[in-house]
Amino acid sequence: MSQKKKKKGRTNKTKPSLNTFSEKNLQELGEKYLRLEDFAEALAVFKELLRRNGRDEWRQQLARAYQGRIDRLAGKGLVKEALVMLDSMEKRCPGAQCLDLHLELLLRAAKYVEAAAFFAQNRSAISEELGMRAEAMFGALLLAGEEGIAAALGPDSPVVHYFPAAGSALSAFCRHNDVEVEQALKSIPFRSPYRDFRMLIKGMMLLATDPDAAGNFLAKIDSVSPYWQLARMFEMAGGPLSGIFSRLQDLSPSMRRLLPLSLGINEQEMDFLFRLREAAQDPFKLYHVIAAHGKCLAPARQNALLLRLLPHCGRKVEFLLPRHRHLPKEQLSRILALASELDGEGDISVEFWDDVLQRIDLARPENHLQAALILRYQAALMRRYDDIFYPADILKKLEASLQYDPDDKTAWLTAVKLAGLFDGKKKNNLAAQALTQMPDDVDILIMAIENAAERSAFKKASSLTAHLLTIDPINTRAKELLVETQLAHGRKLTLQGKFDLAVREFSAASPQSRSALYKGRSLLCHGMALLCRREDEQGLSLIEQGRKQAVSELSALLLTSLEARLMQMNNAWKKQFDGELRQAAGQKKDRDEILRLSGWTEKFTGHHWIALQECLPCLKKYFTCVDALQWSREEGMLICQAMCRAEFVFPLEKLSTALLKEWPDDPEFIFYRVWAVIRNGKRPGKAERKLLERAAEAAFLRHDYKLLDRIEDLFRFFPWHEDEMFDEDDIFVLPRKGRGKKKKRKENADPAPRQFNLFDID
Amino acid sequence: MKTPFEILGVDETADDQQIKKAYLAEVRQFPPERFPEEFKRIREAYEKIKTVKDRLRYLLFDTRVPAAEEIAGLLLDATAKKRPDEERFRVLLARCLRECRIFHKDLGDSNG
Repeated sequence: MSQKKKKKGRTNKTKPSLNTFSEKNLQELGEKYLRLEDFAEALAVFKELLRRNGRDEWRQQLARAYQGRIDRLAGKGLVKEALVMLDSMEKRCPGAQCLDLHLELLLRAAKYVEAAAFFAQNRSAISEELGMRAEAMFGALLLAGEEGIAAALGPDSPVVHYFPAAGSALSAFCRHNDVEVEQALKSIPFRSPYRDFRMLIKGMMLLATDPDAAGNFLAKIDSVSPYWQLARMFEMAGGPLSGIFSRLQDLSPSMRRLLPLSLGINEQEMDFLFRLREAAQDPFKLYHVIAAHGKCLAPARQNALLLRLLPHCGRKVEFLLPRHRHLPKEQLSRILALASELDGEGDISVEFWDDVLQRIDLARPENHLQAALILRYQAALMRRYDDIFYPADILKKLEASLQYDPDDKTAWLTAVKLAGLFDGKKKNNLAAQALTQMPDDVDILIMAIENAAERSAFKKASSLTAHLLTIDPINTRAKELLVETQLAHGRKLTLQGKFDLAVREFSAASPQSRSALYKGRSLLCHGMALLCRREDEQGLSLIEQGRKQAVSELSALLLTSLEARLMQMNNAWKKQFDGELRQAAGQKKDRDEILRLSGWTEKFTGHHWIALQECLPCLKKYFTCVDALQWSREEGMLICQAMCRAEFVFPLEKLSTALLKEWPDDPEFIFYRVWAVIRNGKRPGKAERKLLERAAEAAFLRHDYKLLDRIEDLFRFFPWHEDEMFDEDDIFVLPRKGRGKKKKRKENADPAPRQFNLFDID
Repeated sequence: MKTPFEILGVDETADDQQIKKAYLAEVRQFPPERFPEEFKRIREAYEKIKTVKDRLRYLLFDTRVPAAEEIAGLLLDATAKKRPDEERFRVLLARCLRECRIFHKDLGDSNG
């Protein structure tokens, strides 16, 4: 049996009765309680004093005690108790000024009609500021349909006077009649109790079309306005979708309770909304939220969303797909293909796309475009995983796609490029087919010209260039190609001993291009041709003239060395020109020159690049201190690429280190730094490995698989310690691209088992 | 998340002409200088389904994952953006006035 605990607290037994105190002592005690803000005790003391002697001084002290007590009760939310106390105060202390307090308590207690009557009765005695706020409140209550307010306020009140206009404005607003709204609002003066209501309606009218302007109106509604909360609710609900979840989070509990009403949704939909917010950016969680609670959406929409989320669920897709068995088989294969791709399994994705293709009825011409697009998509995937797939296999996909849809320029260009990697004849055939298919396409023409020039078919290249320039007379690449073709033809004729014809080609080339790469170039070639004929004096004079036309001294000397190789000059000349170039490379560094020369290393290809590679060591000195200059990220990248191609290893290490100080997380700069360290013969350490792991992660996140491949190649230079093998937190696990095991496939080993074969879609 | 077809208000079987017509109508309604965000959305939708190839590409390969906020948008677009009817407005205002008690915080300062 439990014993009832005796309630703790003050009891009369321990406290002496007040009537035993003298007046003086009581006064001291009352004042002490007031100082200590013990208003309940102060009330008892001053009541006792007033009982003994009704002095005004004590009445005022009693009023102070009452006010303190009322405040405390109201602060605790005991508004009705505070009102009762206020009533006692007014009876016991008739002179105390408490009209404002009374009105506020009535409003807080939601005794609106009583408050309105009290306000009407005491309007002149209530403070101006509270009066205005109370009137705004009564206006809002009238609009909310609160009964009895108008009668309590009386017909002379501005609240009642302007209510019909405000009501008309509201009614017109809800009926989307903005003209009528404007007219109604015009009849409400600025200083009326409906001022904030005007702002609210004006803002809400603009919410759907101009949220910024709407925000300006709504922001004018003060936080003490009766419309403030409503304005925030509508602003939150009608504002832009982005950020709606954070806006929901910012809501106070009371506002959250009003949310379904303000959004116009039911509780179930509200629950769905908050579940969506929790699932945030996790596709798997989102899938489940939509599957379980998405009935608030239309069924077709729910289904479409689920299908869209499936490929993002990674390996979990295999558990989810059986729910969608009703889908056509090719749809299932398509989802699996996309899921594999997003999961980093490009080769498996290609196989699933094959499944999709097999299920397409290719006898029907309307399906041809779809097949072509899938084949091209496969080819693009295979190119991304070029360590697994042969170029010949990729090319087969592209060729097949071009059979179904021959009007795709990009596919033709890619096919030609791929064929060039392993079969020159096939490349020429494809280039010719592309040209037949699209004879007037600028890019196809440029490709055909480059291809013809590569094969030394200069006449063909010239005629194609002429055709290209009739289509696009200001095409700079066409002009460059024309000069390149003429110079190449001239060099060929020189080597064949057809000097006059060669000079004619060189002369024709001179005015065509304004590019820095070709300035003075024809004179250099002409001069070299004279040197070949042992007309040294004239030859050197022409070379000097050509150099003067060049964009800079260093460029001129580099181009001279380059042309000496392209014209197959003897070693003595090459040595002389290289010496001049090496000497000039010691001069002061110029930003533009460094950028120009760096750009050239990217421009030259084929035997031109081989010739340039021979000249580049002479320039090494020029690049040694580039790290001392300031570069933008793009400039730094260009120079790093150039130095990597030219194998200026030491300057590259210095430059990449300097650039990493500014862009510490840039994966490309990290790659160049580690590459340079390794190529400098240094043993890379833990710091380099950590850097490289970071770069690999960044490259993967950027889907830069080429860079990822290059980074991965560098990892083999690192010492591998057994104790580090299982340090999973420390080692970045390379993104699963299935390298290694799949390299076997390229060598015609058994195909790797499919990842998603838990249910049979055949 | 609305599909480009829904943004432009066309059927998935619409042809190039119909799509262009719908796009131009949308642009007239939301010109870029006044509605840059809306215009951007319309333009992106149009680019995705402009030609038959684009449409096929979108239907076959588009893997953009719908953000949770976009999905919420599908629910709210039909309701939150719409103006409330008079009854809902009145009920909401009444509840705001009752629940929020705007006179609460000034009470301590009043009537000294």
